[in-house]
Amino acid sequence: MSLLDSLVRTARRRSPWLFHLNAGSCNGCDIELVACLTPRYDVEQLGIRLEASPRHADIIVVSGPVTRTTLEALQTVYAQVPDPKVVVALGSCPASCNMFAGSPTVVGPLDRIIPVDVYVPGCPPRPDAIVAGIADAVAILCGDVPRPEPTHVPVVADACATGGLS
Amino acid sequence: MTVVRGLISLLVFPGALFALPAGWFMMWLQRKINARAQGRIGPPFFQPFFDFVKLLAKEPVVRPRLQGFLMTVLPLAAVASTLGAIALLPVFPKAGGFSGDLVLLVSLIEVGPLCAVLGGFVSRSLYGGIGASREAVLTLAYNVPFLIALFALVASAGSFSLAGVALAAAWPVRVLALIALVACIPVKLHLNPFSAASAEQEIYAGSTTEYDGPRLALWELAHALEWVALTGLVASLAFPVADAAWPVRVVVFVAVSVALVVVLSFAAASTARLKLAQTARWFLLCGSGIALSALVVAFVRL
Amino acid sequence: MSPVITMGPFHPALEEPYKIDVVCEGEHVTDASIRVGFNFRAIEWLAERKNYTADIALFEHVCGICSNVHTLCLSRAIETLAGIEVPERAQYIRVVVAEAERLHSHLLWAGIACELIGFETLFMACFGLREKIMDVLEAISGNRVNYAMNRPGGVNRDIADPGAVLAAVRAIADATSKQLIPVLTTDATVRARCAGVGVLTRADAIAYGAVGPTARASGLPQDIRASAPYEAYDRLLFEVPVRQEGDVFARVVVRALEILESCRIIEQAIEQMPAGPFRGDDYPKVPAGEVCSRIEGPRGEVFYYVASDGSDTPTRVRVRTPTFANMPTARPMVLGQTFADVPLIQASLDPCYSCTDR
Ligand code: SF4
Repeated sequence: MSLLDSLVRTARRRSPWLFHLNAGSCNGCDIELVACLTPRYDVEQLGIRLEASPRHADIIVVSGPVTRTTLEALQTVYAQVPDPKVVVALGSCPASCNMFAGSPTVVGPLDRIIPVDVYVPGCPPRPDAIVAGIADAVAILCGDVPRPEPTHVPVVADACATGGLS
Repeated sequence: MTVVRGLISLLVFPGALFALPAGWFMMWLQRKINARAQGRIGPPFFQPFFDFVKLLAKEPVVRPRLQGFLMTVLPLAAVASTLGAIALLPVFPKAGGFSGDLVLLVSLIEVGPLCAVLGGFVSRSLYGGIGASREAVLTLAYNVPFLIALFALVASAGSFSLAGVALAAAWPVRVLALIALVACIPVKLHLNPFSAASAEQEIYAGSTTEYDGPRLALWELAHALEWVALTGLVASLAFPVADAAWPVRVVVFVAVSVALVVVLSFAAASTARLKLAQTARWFLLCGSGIALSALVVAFVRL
Repeated sequence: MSPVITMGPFHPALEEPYKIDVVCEGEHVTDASIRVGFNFRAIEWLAERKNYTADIALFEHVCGICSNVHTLCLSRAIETLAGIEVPERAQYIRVVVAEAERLHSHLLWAGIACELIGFETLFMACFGLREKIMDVLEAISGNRVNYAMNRPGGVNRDIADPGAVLAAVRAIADATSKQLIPVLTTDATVRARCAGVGVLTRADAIAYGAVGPTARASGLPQDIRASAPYEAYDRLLFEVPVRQEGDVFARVVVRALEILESCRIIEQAIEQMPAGPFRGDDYPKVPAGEVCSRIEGPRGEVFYYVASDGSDTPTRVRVRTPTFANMPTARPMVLGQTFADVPLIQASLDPCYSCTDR
């Protein structure tokens, strides 16, 4: 049993597949995530793959401060990713809404909507930082590191009603 | 004796015990070559294996009963039939039974794509549906040259057994037919330039878009086995070493298969993806042209 | 009944969330419409509530790909309002950064376009090349994306090592003309996917008011850098590449040639760059008034309108981005094409919905 267990853990550690979701970001974080795939950073060495379908993913990478219009899609995608899954908040936007805080069309930060496990700070974070963040997420995924307590009880309806942080 | 032989070829060589690692190795090799061609380092050696285990260990999404059943059975059928096809490969030509029966082998190989088409439709996702219909169109298109080429070989050799064909087919026919056959492999394996059925940028993951965890793992498994079946088919046709000692045959079989993977990977890395209509046209004109010329040569020489 | 296929809002072909509704007969497109607004962060609304200093930082984040264009255009608007002269060295630095940004944007676009036609190797090659210019931008500004270079009255940082910039730019020009352009223009599969696809006629380009490389690929030689030079562009020699065909292939070629032109501009700018201060001493006071400002971004003409009542906060900032002008041209382009071409055709505009939604 424990042999099987450690095999599964190793497999999870060595094969994290990402689904990237842009929740109203400025593209800065998104192009840095794409840059991670390219020759200089080449995350395929670590078994990381950017998947097209949320059904195939283990890690959801969210960038952007979560606009009203992406809220519903965000929740759908979160539900579609099969367990076990980890959420990475990419950049300052999903962490704090960045300079978009106070905007009437922004309902973030992200932890109000879905539980966030790893934050990658930066505007945008460098590809190295993104890879490090994914490594943290992988540690949670395979159970090496316990999942952090949710910072918020996700209260979606609330976030909608107040129209973001005020 | 034949039963034991049959079981061995299904379960040991060239069947499951050999084909699984071989399939994973070929998938890894393709990804690695692709990465090296792009100036990257590429995935570690055990990557396809870990991908498979991880997918198996994911929690399956709960689905309506019939749909869930079909979405499990179809990839399973693809795995089983491809494994059956591999077992028929005549690495040991005198094994008797159905071993090396070309008709049975080809129909078993066809079950995989058929399951993928059905699997795309039952997943009830729009993109799965589009992927499935593309898969269906492509299956029709490449089967024209694929079958003609095989028929040319059969006609030239006057035998329906793979081993017979491998021994007796005339070389001009064989070369032409093999070119046509090799050109068909990228379609089945979703490789460039004929990868329209899994065009990630257009239709997500094609027919497997809705498949998750263990069900996706089965598709990946079927895919790995298809690598072995198709390269093995070409390998056993390309080099007639049936009268050599069995270690020689095994080595040649494996070496040719791997060489084929290398060639296909380089071709895939240096091309763009053709559109569905362009792919279909290519197979109906160029592919079939080559296959037909093989057939003509076969009849002329008779 | 022809099925309506909705692509998006999250789709692997789309870097950004938006929806395309494609009406298909089989694989043939009979109608299409684009729905945007997923990136609407109400930036213009926020701008009216922040002072000019904060606004520069805010507009930097309209778009992460062409951030410099936005701050440059806004800075120029504020400078015109306040009547400030920009030191000559700053003008050249602005040109260098703007062209470096164009390089990275065009290489990014070329990469994405290759990815869309399934040519992963070329995608990697483009992005590998792009890392060179990212290094330059990082050396100049300290960040790979969002450089925070512009401020009213100059730039925030000097170019410390012009030699390194020159070397990188020469390497890029070399690789572009020796590897990228030959592969893009001669590879059979690339041609099969791009030539004759998504044609925008000259008449349509005029009727829809297309700008930037999209217009230039349809035979309209318009470029703000040449027709209404700003900063140091009037002292630099460069050509505006124009193609007549109007298909995706023409847009590929135009952008590839623009990469070479940008390299030329940077080389000249570095060589001509005079010594001296690179920014004014203190932050200007903005008097009441209104002003328009326009510059040529990587995707075409960027337009800013700024109104001020003399306080430290603008009363209105209006942004018109090139994608806003180019977006409608996607419809005449995709009609009658196959579904497989839709992602490529819409991407051939180099759309930036983050800019457009703001
Ligand atoms: S964190 Fe910064 S770079 Fe990333 S999306 Fe937000 S504003 Fe853009």
